[in-house]
Amino acid sequence: MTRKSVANFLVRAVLDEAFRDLALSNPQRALEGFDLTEEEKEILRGRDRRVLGLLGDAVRLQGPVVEPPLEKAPTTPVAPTLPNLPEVKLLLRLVPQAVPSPGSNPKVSYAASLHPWPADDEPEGGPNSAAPTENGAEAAEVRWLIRIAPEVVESRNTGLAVAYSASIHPVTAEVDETDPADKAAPLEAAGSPWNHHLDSPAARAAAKAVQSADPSQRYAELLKLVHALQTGGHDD
Amino acid sequence: MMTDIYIVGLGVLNVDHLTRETERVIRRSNEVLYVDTGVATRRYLENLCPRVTSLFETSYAEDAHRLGAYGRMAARVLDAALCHAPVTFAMHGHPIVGVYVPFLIRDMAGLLGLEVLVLPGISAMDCLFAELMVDPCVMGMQMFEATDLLLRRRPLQADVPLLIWQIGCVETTLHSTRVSKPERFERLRAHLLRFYPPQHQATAAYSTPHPLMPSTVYRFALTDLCRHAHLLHAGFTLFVPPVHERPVEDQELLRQMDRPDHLARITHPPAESDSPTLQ
Repeated sequence: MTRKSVANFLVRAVLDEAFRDLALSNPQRALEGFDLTEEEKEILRGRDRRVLGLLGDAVRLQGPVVEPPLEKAPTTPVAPTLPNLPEVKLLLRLVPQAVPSPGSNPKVSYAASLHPWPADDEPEGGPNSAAPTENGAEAAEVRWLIRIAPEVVESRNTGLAVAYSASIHPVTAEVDETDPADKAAPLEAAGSPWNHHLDSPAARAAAKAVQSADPSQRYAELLKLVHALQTGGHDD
Repeated sequence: MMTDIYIVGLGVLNVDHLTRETERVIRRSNEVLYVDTGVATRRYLENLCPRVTSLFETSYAEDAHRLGAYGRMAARVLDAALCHAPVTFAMHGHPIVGVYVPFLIRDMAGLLGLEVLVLPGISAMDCLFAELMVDPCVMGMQMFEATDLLLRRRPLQADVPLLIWQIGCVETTLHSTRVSKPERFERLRAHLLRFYPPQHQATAAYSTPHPLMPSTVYRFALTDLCRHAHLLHAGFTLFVPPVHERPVEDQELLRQMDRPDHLARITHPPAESDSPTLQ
């Protein structure tokens, strides 16, 4: 499945700095292990502007809507059946606990626990805990989402192998005192070169309709708001 | 005040141009919606944010009006922000340079009571300055979007460097990935030749989106612009250097600008100054 291999090569050259250095200094060695045609190898070794064509193919290959056409599907027995393994999501909770300390304010320790990610994607539903710290302030519970993303990759030896990438993300966006909003100028100061009909009754009515819309209808109402801003309600 | 929608640029060279500031707000977001065709963009964003949505494929359609795509993008971003703010809208290059959607988002958000913050990114102009070693402070810079230049028949100054954005998209508001014919550039060529000699050399530059590919640079005489039609895709920017240098007219300022006594006349003495210095 050379198109997938080309995509893997190009993605890795972006994300893996050591591999990128190898591809630049010793492309022949970097190409080892990738199932590529001679022409693809020549383009990637030469690093000329024909790489752009390979990039286009790679992007189309990974697009969520545009799938590679069936007639160009690989002919090797394993490639067409590359399965999509489900992503694993876990909720990491750090719950503060006040521990009595003789002669001073209570100290805080954290109890960590790992939970399956809720099916409704709404981990905020549970009660938050808080404990007093040494200086009297409260330490709040901290929650993180851990994502473990499996990816089936081709392997020369076994045909298929599974690689994992993991990432961790805060569940709630806490107020950050270093928010760059503090240094941002008000947007109104910039003005708009696009002559949107901000004050038109049509735009105001459309905005109200968005705010009162059921979530399932909101996108359609937002499109109406776009139209109202652009036309002021006066269709051509 | 909390931000509901961050609008950021992903830069030109896939992932490498992301600023730390941009990475930080993406990490803080519950969803990042992006428009970028970089080969590793999605994979990289997925390591920063739990929900990553590409808007390119669901917004653009071949031969369809780009304005419709922009409206769909803005609606998707606002829908996400109303559902689970904060969200980030990220796009190729700089988020305000040659892009309409952020203005639409900003105005929609204002009507809906949502806060928007725009962060800068690296644009094709920044890459061109580096690749062609152009300093806009030396001889100035005039820049125009290609179709707008023709629509308004904007006058050009041949003594000031000229940068023309989006020459590969000139003369249409429809989204298209088709290869251009020479006819596409005839109007632009004619306009340029009103101000520049036919043999004046111009440079069309496309900054590389991938570290294994060099940037593409074509140099040609303006009179040959149409002959390069098949090469000039939507990513190209045209740079036209000045024909000549404008002579200095204010000889008195020229004499004064190196003199300490002139500096003393136009600044406060150090002890009296209450403004910060860069020393």
